[in-house]
Amino acid sequence: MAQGVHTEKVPGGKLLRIKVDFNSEGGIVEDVQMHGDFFIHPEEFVEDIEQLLVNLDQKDSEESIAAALQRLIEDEGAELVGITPESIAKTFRNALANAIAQPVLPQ
Amino acid sequence: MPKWRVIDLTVNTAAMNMALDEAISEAVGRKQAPPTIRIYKWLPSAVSIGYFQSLTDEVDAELCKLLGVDIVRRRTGGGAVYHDANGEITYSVIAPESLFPKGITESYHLICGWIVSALGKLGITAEFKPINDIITNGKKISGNAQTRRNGILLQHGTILYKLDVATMFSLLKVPKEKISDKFIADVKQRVTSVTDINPQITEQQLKEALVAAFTAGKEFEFGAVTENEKAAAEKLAKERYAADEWNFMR
Repeated sequence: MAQGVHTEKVPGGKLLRIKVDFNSEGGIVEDVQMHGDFFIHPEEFVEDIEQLLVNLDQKDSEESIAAALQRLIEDEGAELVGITPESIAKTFRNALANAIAQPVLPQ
Repeated sequence: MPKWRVIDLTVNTAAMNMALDEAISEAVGRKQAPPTIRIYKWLPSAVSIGYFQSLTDEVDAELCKLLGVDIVRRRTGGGAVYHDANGEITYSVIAPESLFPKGITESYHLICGWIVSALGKLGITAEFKPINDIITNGKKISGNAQTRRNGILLQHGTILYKLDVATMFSLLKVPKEKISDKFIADVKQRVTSVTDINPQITEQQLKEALVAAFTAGKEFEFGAVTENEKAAAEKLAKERYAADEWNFMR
């Protein structure tokens, strides 16, 4: 298991840190956590975002991740303040890249 | 026009302060309580963190324990705040969303305008800085956070009265090597307090200015937390806001 972290100060917005737990053997994203001083209304919607990031195809581009997030936000009538779908997609991509770049330690 | 209830300064633990905001929100939501303004402080001193923050990333929990400082996760987003027992005043506004602009920023602007007005009464020129700050001379003097649930808007925030930068940043996680004289000087370029601007202003005067500004143009009466709200808050304090399961959730 490798963990990748990336922190981004969203321009004109808040701090966003995403942690990705990556199972290197299976090539699977096992967990995603979003932290920071942003706002999401309703708050529990953060779990829907994290779940979307866990489940998506790792080959998806930043643009398509952002578009998927935007659809989810609209479908659920949620509101983000201080972060954007684009900043989430970018931060997630970087965190995942960091996780994949972790050396696999011998068991 | 609704008649507001003003719950004048009370001093509570961190868990109870957050539980009272929630219990009152629920009572207002059930129409068992009028829109409410609370003014409060924290004893012991406490750190509150935003709903989405990682407690272990943001707070030195061991040092808090050693110093007897409470830690609580808020229901609202936003950043970590050090609520010094003698260094700030917190308020909350709890009311039906319908009394406020629909837009989040617009409603921050409205309520933060009351704080700007209170500071103005004390001779401090301040302004709202989106997303959720109030600044004076370019320095932050107040931070605010809002949530909306079941048609009820809850906004709470802190107004800094007296800064203790050294304690603040020993509890909030900044790499220890950064807490140098220069770091403290840098923070003082970005954060200020009522007494930094005018040491003559008493905490009582700040509190009175807040009550006056928050109630301006409103029909209101001073009131207390009801027995039902208190009982609900005590349960919430115990089961949620004082529980590691909630506070270490993220």
